[in-house]
Amino acid sequence: MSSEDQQERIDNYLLGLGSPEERLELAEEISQNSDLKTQLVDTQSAMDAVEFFEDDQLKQRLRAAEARFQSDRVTDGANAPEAKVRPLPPRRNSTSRWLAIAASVLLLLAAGWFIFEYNSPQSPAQLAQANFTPYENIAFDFVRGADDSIEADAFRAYERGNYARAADNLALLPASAQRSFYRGQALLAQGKFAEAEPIFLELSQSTFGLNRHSEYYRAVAQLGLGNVERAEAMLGAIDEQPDHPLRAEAENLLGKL
Amino acid sequence: MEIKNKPTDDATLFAAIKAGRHELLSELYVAHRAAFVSYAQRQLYATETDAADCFQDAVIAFYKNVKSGRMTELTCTMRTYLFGIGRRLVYRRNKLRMREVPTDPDEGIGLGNDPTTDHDLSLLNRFEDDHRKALLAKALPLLGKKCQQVLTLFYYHRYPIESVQESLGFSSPGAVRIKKMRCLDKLKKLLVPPV
Repeated sequence: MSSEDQQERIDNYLLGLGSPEERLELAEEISQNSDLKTQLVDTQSAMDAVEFFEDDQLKQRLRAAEARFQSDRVTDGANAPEAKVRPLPPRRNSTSRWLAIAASVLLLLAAGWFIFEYNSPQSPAQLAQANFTPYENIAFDFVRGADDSIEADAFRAYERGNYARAADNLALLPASAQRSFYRGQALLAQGKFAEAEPIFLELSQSTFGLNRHSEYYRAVAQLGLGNVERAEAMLGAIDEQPDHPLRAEAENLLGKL
Repeated sequence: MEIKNKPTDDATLFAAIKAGRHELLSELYVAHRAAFVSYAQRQLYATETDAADCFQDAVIAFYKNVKSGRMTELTCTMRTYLFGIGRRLVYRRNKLRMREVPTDPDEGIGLGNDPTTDHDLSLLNRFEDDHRKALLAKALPLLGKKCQQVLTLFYYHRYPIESVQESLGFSSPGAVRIKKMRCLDKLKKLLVPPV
């Protein structure tokens, strides 16, 4: 039996696949073969490593969704018109029936429009947001104790998903490539593509350590702005660089365009 | 530009997630998040942050149960299932915080109309040893991107070999198997604790 076939048997066993007979057969072999047992234990450890890492990635994605939810709520709240109380008009029995019919028709039209919209493909902006996960904070640590500086507050807000506050505070600080990068991230997380794009353009042309990452985030910003062809070209250029750090992400996003 | 449609009902959404469309989890979260947070704040005395965090974990537990084959079909609405898990997680969080836990008619786990059990949470509880966590967390990112993708799609998202081949553009299922074997060997070596 080849090593790939043996590994497949172990995978099936650990993933709960295969027939009960196959599982029983392997369990018996394991009890008599210490090498096979070691192989199984090592595979289980490797699977645990994958699971642990991916659980964390999924959690990050959901945190980003939460941040977008919070951001949308703030925006909606700010844009909501003030409620006004108006007196009810006197009842007019002769026309009320026709008004009710008209309202029903309007309601049906609105429901139809909603269903059509909900089923229609995502817009470029939605696609950009759905495929963006803010870059992990590797720039600022909080080991310094009760640090109440603006920078600490900005990165604390960033880690908590309060991207509006993070972006505002980072804008107050003296400019640096690192701060610009995280400000750009915070803007993308809020769907502020027009503000984020020039930041990543500048970073991608600089010698900053994450300049190649910035190329990808610039493409995301372009997509968010609705410039699908430009975003496609940028992602294509990244995809052609085998050593690009975000090549897989670019390839993945290209596949959705 | 052609983009996959969003499923509009529970059954279709469940089938899509089961078939590998894990990107829909964020939408699932957002669709029920507000209702759960409101419920947890009013009924379970949770803070908004705790409630949202627990609901994120509920979505993760749901996904892991689907992919592991523990949950093969929906026996209630998606919202009922997620609320059941989320509620248990809030209870646990409250207990950890030593808050007063409110009296609840369904507090007996598994009683009442709660469709979830402790079993539904068990996949979330696997990594409680901090040392092991640290060793596991460092390993996968040390592999190349392609290796990460192959192992993740196969072992985490449980894609069949043919789907991994299609998703990552391999020439044949055999090529995927060989790549997976090599990547797995690399990962195993990284997980050997230092002597």
